[in-house]
Parts: sequence; C-alpha cells; structure tokens
Amino acid sequence: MTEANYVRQPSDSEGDPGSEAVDLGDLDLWRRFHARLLILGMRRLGNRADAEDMAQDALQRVVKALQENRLREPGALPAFVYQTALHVCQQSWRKRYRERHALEGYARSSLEENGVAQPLTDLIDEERRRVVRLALQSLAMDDRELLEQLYTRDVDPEQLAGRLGISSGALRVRKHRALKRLSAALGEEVTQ
Amino acid sequence: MKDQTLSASDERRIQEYLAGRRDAVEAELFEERMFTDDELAAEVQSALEIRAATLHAGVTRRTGRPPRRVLFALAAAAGAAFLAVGLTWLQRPPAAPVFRGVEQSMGLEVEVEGSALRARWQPIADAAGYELQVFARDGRVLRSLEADGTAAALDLGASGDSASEPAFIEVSALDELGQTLQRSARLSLPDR
Repeated sequence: MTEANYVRQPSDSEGDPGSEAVDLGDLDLWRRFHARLLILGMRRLGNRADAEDMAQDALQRVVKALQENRLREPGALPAFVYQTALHVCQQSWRKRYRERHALEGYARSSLEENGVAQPLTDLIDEERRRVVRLALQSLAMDDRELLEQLYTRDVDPEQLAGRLGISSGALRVRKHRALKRLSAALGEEVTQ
Repeated sequence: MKDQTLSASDERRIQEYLAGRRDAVEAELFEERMFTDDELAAEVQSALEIRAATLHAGVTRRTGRPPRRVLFALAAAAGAAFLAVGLTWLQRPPAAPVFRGVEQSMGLEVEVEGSALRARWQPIADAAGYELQVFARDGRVLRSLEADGTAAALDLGASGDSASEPAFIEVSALDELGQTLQRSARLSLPDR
C-alpha cells in the first residue's frame, strides 16, 4: 500500500467516513508503522509500557488526521507519523515532569539522571525471542553465524567481509538472503 | 522485504543505533530516516529481534554513556579496587601473572600464563563437542578450536599488532549438527 492509499482525496471525503476502506487503511497503517513507533518510543521514553501507549496514541492521531483530510500530500505521511510520535513523546515527558514535580518537589525526570532506560531489546517479549531463536536454529550454520556476528556481536561488516574473503557488497547480498530465509522460517513458525 | 540492500554505512548505523552507541542527534536523524525508509525499518526490526533472541548477559558490548550515578559508583569501586590491589602487592612476594575468569552460566575458567592459555568448562548435557573461540578486540575470531572434552590448551602466540591481540574468549557447546546448545559469557583476556 502506498501513501496515496492512506490519504483520501477531497472527493473521497464525501463518502461514508466509517467505511471499510478506512478500517483496512488503519490496519495497514498499524502494520507499517507500529514496530518503528515502538522502537522510537522505547528509546525516548525508556520503557515498553510507555512506548506502547505512545505508539497507540500517535497512530490514533494520525488516523484521525487522515479521516479529517488534514494531510493532503501522500508523500508526507511517514514524516507526519514521525512528527506526531515526537509530539506524543514530548507530551508524555511533560506529564512525567509534572507528576514527578508534584510528588517529589523537584524536577529531575531525565532518564540519564535516573538511569532507568531499558535497552531496545526489551521490546521483544520472551515468546517472540523463543520463536526467533527456533527460526534461527532452522537456518544453515553460515546464515545463522552471519546474522549473529552482525547483530549480536556487532562485528564490523567490512571486517567480517574481509574475514570471509568476500567483498562488502557480497556480504550484504548474503545477509539480505539470510534475512529473507529467516523471514520465511518465521512465517512457517507463526502459522504453526 | 525489497530485493535491495542497504549500504555498508547503513549496516554500521543499525548496529550502533541498537547498541545505543549513537549520540542523541545522530539517533534522532536515524529515526527520522527510519520512518521514511521501509527497507531500513524492516532491517532494524529484524536486527532487533535477532539481537534480543540471541543476546545473553555475558556478551561484552560497548554501550552508550552510563548514567552519572553509575560513573560515580564505578569511580568509587575503581578507587577501592586500586587501594586493595596496592595493599595486596605490599603484602605478597612478586609472582608470575596468572589470570582467572569464571562465568557461572556456562562455566568457563581460563588461565593465561605468558602465551599459554588453558581453558576448562562445565560439561553440557547432550553436547557432542565444544568450540573454543578467541576474539580480537573488534570481535574478529582469531582462533577456533574444537574439542570433545571439557578442557583445552592453546598457545596464543607472540604479541603482534594490538588490533590482532587476543582480547576475549568464549566456549560453545555444540550438538551433533553443530548447532549451539549453550554458550559461555565472553571473558576478557588480560593484556600481555
């Protein structure tokens, strides 16, 4: 689905605002942006519950804006979702600031000060980790090792390519194929 | 997922972002791009899931700047440790340097004397063999040794350039298909 499918043109708004097309659009909007909203929220708000709330709130605002035809330029949708998410994060911060100020009499709501930020990996629950682990184990050793080297051990891609005796471009192609095989394995797992 | 691949710099950015090694401005720019680039967003999500599924407490990882309170605590701990080491040296006669590291999750004990390294580890049920790996500081595998038993010895060789100096060691228990059953923490080796 492209941005143009989400953004209804003026003539569309004359129809039923609660039509099925809008609902399907909402679902697709959720599928497309929910994961990245969670990641953004986790990094900025520091915990999964607040990130979930932020993602939900931001998507509701975007859907409302689309239904009210406040976004006319289809290409601007991703930036609009991003800006909406930032706005919701800021509101969340202000709310936290006020609550903390009221409770403790001083305002020190920075995550850095409190040291409570959770790592982004905390977004992935135990069940999903188990499913991904099983899918990884179903891959060939080369694929699994490649993905773990890149994403778990943070090995520099160029150095990894050098160690494997291939070019950086070939490594990227190999990684891309490994990710596709992982996606396929996850698809099988999800349908079980 | 599109049949395209990201650039090498994108891959490094993904690693750094997920590990919390990008500063606030860089992370914000990365997130903004993540909202407009579906391919990048998909790879970040895959990388995050792989990282969460395979990450274990013992993996040595560079992280973002720790909170100030932690820095104070670390400084205090370092001061106490320095004092303790100083007192110990005053009391003990000089001895050959011996390094010992123990990890409880999958027990790995390592001794290094000069260039000789001896490793012992906990037996794992159903393991068909074990793989001992020595890494450079940048994560490259320098040595890999397969063993049937629960101990191995190897010569780390003469010190060469600092980039190829052995820096970490870990052991993996493998099943009959060569898949990892369990892995120890990655222990730091002493500078030689």
